Amino acid sequence: MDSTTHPFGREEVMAYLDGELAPERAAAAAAHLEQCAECRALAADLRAVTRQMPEWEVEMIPASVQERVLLAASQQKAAEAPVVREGRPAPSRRGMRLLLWGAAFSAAMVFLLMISTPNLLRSRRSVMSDYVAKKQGTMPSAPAASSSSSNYESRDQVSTALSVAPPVAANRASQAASAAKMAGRVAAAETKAGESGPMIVRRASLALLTKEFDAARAALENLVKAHHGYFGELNVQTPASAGRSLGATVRVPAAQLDAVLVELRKLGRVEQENQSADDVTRQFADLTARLGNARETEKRLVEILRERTGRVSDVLEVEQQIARTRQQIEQMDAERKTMENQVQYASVDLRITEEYKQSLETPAPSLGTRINNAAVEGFRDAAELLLGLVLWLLSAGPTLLVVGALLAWPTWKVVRWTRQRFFAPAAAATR
Amino acid sequence: MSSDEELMLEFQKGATEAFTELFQRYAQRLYGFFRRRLDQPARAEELTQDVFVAVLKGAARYEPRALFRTYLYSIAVRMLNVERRKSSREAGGSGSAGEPAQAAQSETSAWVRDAVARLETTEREILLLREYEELSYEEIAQVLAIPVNTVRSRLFRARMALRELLVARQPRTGGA
Repeated sequence: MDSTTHPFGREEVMAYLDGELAPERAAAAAAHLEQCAECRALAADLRAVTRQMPEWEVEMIPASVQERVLLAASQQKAAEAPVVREGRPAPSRRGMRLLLWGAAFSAAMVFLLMISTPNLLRSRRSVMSDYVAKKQGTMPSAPAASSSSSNYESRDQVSTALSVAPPVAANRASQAASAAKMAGRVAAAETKAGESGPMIVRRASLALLTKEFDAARAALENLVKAHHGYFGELNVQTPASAGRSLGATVRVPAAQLDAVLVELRKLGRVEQENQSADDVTRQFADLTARLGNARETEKRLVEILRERTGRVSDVLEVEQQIARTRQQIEQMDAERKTMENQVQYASVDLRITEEYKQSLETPAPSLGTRINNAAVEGFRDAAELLLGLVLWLLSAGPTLLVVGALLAWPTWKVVRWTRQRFFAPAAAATR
Repeated sequence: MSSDEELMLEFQKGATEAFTELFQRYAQRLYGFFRRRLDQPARAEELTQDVFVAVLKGAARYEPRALFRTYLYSIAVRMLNVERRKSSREAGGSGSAGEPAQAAQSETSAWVRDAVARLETTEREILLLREYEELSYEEIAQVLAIPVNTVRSRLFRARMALRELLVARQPRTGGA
């Protein structure tokens, strides 16, 4: 067909017959068909083809299919109802899956809680052991747990008081718990970051030598508490033939670092001191910009998903892209929180060593203890000997039995022959 | 009368009657869909059932972004493709299961079936979706994941090929 004589292509004539043209175009097509015999012929051909199609009939669907499908529908409804409407666990796969996810989520929350408040459960016991240890003049590593846990508590108070972002571990939990809440908090953090000046990560390390180790340690703990800091890490070593030592990473609000250092120096003789400051303003701004971009991308993708009704595969692809973007956002967000935390809390690596005083008072065990130890050792030796014997019999016994069985007959023969040869004549002679 | 999409949303809220209604609207059409594309009635039954079960399972995730009909036939086309792949593997590539049914009795019916069978695969699929499933060009494009223009041009080609066959046949049957 020629487009000069026919304003409609052949495919368009077909589209008109199929009702696929826009109303105005359809009206024009109808008018053209009135006039154009060629197009009318094409339309007639197309109609003839379509008329033939219904001839190919298909038998009715068997009723059993309906029964099976509707049964599946009612079963699914029965299985889902308690989960969806009443929130009670049902023995369906869906219910089980929900339960499992719930359990996994709770486990993750508990785990995070344990990380953010370490050894909470042990703290009471360690307070006791701390007390006992102090009485005995030894210093086990358990007090580290108690002190760090108490200081984590104080840190939490600080973080709420100063409305700074809480530590990363707790953040992750809250991210998982509520995306909306997170978005709000992040927005607040963003405005905060915009207001503040350069972002500097401050670090210091300090090595001290002290004569009064216990006093220094107590003073350290009070100091950290007073400045609303916390122990990132704390180790106490009590070797038998050397002075005690304490290694700690103390996190204190950056603004108070100088004051803290001044007070720390008073705890003993300073053997070594280092300070450093890294400017991370640009990195932070960069990260914030990337985060903003990623959020924007996510928003656009969600809009695409909401507005476009594309193919199923496209929808799936968009959903995957959203998931990927969200993952990136979470990573960047965590990175940002870590950086903020580093800026807000300066870190001090502290090492306190006790001046070692050689002492002759090696602890001599009491008589009762020595008797007790001797008795225990004696009993243990006896038991081990007995056990060793039994074990040896069990391992060597079978071999011995076989060897014995093999040797028994020839031995018996030799014994008999010897008896007969040497003793029987003698016996006979005596008779 | 509620639309398919409204029924699906009602079913999401727990109304089994809504699903029954959807089943009654589409069961025969869907069975026809498989029956015209596979030679075993039993497989057509099973696949019809499978499509509805897939709808049941996916009901919680269903969002009325596209027409329910498009959603349903997309599932059906996917299952059909899986079935064809499976049967061609089992038959070592010779695959008779992919051929249309032998269910028809009348001569015209046989003619239509044979003529459709001679079409190129995609053209046949487009024609069947248009003539029997009565999907719009846009819906066919979505279900088969091809552009709308392709649907139109290939549908035209398919119909023209059928017309040639019809013309060739008419002298034999005395212009019936």
